[in-house]
Amino acid sequence: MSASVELPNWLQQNQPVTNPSAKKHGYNPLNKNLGWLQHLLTQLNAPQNIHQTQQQPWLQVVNLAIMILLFSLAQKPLLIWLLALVWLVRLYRLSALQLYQFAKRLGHMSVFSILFILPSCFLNSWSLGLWLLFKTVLILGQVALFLQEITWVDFIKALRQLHVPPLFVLALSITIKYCHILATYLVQVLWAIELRRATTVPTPFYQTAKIMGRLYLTSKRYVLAVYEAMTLRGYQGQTTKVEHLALSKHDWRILGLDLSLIMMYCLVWRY
Amino acid sequence: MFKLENISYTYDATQAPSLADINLTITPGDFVALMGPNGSGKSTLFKILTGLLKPQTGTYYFEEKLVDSTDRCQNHLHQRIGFVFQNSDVQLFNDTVFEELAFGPKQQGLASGAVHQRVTDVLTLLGIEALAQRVPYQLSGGEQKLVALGSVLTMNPAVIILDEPYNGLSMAYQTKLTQLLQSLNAAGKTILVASHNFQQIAELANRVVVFNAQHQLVLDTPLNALTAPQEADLRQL
Ligand SMILES: Nc1ncnc2c1ncn2[C@@H]1O[C@H](COP(=O)(O)OP(=O)(O)OP(=O)(O)O)[C@@H](O)[C@H]1O
Ligand SMILES: [Mg+2]
Repeated sequence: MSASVELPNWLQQNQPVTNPSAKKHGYNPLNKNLGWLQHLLTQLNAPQNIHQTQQQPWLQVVNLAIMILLFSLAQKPLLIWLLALVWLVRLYRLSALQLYQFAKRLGHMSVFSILFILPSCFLNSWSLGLWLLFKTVLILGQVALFLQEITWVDFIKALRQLHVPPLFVLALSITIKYCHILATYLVQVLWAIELRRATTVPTPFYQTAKIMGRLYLTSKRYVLAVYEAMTLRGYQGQTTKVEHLALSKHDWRILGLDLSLIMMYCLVWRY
Repeated sequence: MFKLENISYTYDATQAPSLADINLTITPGDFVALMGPNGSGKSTLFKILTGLLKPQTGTYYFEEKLVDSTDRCQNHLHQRIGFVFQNSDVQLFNDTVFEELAFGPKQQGLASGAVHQRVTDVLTLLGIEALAQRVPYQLSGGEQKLVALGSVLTMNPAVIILDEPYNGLSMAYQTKLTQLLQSLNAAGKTILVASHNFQQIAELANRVVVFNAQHQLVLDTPLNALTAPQEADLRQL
């Protein structure tokens, strides 16, 4: 047995727990801010429930582009009704949880779009504004569905398949990875603070500001370290990865559907 | 002290759980070593015990009370349990080492005289008086580990959880840490340590809990009851 260490007296006693309800304190900026930040980060880091499709990623992007184009060009209610029908059939395949996520996302996006469309309602006519709003929500629905069906990894792959300039793809992919790594890191820092802060004692405002500043500095340091690690492993801003366009049987079906929708658009438009 | 019933935790719904159906009871004064291969779920278990992660299934009791996410319960948990992270550099967020150690007791509402007393005591205890006015981020990895431990000790928690505390410490400090943990345990603190080093564990703990690569708890036994083949397995981890 090795020699024991002389512990100070207080460390050998039991520490009474200060109870949050014993003292009531008002606004605590540290708790408020950290709580908010933590909520945001856990949201960012939460695994998304993605609906797996059999489509090639690039086709998903093309499909989205075609649908958006058709929706924005379509003026006849009949055509819009047809397009919306196709869209609803695709929605039908989502699970309950995925549908909920989809609805939440669409709701958020629609609220933002209303802010932009409302002025046009006031300036022009209400009927025009509402028509615009209706179409915008339908288009946003396409985007929301797209986001529900594609992971970031696949989206990056799609961009490569479509021969988007590699530098742009690389920048995007690194940004996404960075954000993810940084969020994971920040969550840990926030955990450390949470473990040692008490809800009983209000933290003075200057200390909150100091901790927030520290958080910024550590994340900056951390991002630099990640960058250094990437440079050391030979990252120079170019990529040799080439993805080829591939088409499966399932993909042809989607392409066929897209083409027939376009044809329908031309037909309805003429008559 | 801790009572876990059928606890499972999954980080990502598309992947297998990182902790599968864990049942574990820890009584006050226990000195438990957690062992298992990389990625077996040791750190995840610690995060559940400290209330940082909420298990998707199962129940968790701390000091006979069901743990939930209310402020009151979390506050109780955080004051009773001290946790030194595996990557303890993320744990330091103050301007100087002194302030770092003082943060916890200040938050507990101690008078400034008592806070000062605790900080100087702990600095002496860990032999890091010279670091008191240094900036925590500029310290070396091992120094940061000691400061993180110090910041937990000043809060005088009843339970101390250390996730691979020996990593990056010099031999002299490893011996020192072993002695310190033994004294803390003798003073009545419950201690949980994750480690890959059976040699050190054998000197310290009185109980060993082992996870396998499938994130299951496969062994929970007093150290002196280990059979020779079991011990040989643990030395491989
Ligand atoms: N933030 C996370 N997101 C997704 N999966 C994670 C996360 N953290 C851990 N995991 C996974 O959970 C499992 C358990 O990880 P954990 O860190 O608890 O292992 P560990 O036993 O502490 O390993 P080590 O000995 O290497 O520290 C691993 O398979 C890991 O990949
Ligand atoms: Mg670990």
